[in-house]
Amino acid sequence: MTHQDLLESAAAYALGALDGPERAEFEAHLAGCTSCKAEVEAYQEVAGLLAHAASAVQPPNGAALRHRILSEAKGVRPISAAPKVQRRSTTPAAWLAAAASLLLAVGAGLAYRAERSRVATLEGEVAEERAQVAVRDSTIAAFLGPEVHVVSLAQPDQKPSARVFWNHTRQVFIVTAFNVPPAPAGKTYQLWALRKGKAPMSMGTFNTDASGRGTAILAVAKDITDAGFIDDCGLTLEPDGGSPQPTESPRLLGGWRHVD
Amino acid sequence: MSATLMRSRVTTDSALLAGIAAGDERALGALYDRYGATVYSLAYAMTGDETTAETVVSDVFAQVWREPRSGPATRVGALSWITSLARVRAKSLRRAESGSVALGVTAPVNGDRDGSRSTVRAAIADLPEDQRRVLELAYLGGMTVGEVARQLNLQEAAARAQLNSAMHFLRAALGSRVATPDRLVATRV
Repeated sequence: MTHQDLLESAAAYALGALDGPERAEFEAHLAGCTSCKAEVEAYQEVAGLLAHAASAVQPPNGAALRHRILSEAKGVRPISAAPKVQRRSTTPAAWLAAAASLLLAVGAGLAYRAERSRVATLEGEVAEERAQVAVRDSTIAAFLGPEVHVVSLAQPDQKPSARVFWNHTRQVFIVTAFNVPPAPAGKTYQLWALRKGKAPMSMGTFNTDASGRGTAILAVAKDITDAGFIDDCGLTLEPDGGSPQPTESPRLLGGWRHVD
Repeated sequence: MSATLMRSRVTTDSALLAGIAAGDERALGALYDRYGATVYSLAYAMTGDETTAETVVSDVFAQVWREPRSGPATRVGALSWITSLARVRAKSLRRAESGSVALGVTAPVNGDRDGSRSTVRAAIADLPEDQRRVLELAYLGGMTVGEVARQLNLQEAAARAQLNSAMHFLRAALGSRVATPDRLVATRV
């Protein structure tokens, strides 16, 4: 397999989702490929953040649990505190191997079999989640920090039907449309960076599928980077390939939040 | 959130891991206070059982204590490390026929002082349905790409591509939080 093929496995590897042979092949490549290592590490950080997407629940006996953990620790000395046995996970492969070793390390004495399985099914609540997006936007904008800004695109007085993240670190726009009908044949959607009293600047084009959804990652053009303050973002329908300037009024419009 | 605050978190996370490596039980207690609830929530989402989830938490922190990382070995953030341990453990404890799993759920956002939770959920909510399903099965279901493909009746290459797209999108959307491991400490529970 080529480097490019293997690179496609980096996300799955970081999630521990490669089967044995694939994993072995990827790890063999990983040992000598710094760019794949960096990919894996970035995806491992994403995987860590995904824990926040689990429904937040508190352990029913949190104080007792904490006490138990610390009591058990008192009887054990960390490997690193003993001479010669220090374990170093210098590669992602070793890091994952350490995770796997948990099975062996604590499995025998503490194994407990779940008798019940009552994971809540929340598929049906996705629609409700969408409805909350507008409310949450203000939270996101407040929290994303100086490197990422966001705009929600909507028709006047309607719920947002698309959103664009502006990642300044990577100099990309991440477009995600969730309720935009696909452009007719020969047409495409085009996004515009809008400043009061200035000509619109193209941010790029994208399309949606039959379900009204679409995602795109667009490089930020230099004229936009150089413009400094951008007020708004607009979406128009344009001929295939896009237009130098918009040929209609924006169908969807939104203001960038917390743009410096 | 100021850059200073984020950096001070870096120090604190690293310092806690260093303290644990040196055998300081208070550091273990502090790490539990910081990430215990997140690990428990993740384990509960994966197993659907309170007792099993507690076992996962207990086992993970025992593992962190027994085999801590230190110094330059700490390439990824503490949260990523700990949650990877938790996923492996939860998968092994869970009944094979465990029910469905879902990310980006609608539970009230509490203890979300720096907005990590709401930001991550918003990003996940923006994933196309099919990509989110693949990600859920791989992440919370602990399935391999091959298992996900069989479960959803997809070609393996398609499942891999969807998983890749989902992670690629999340990585871009979560931008500043994953640009470097050092920034990751914005995560707080």
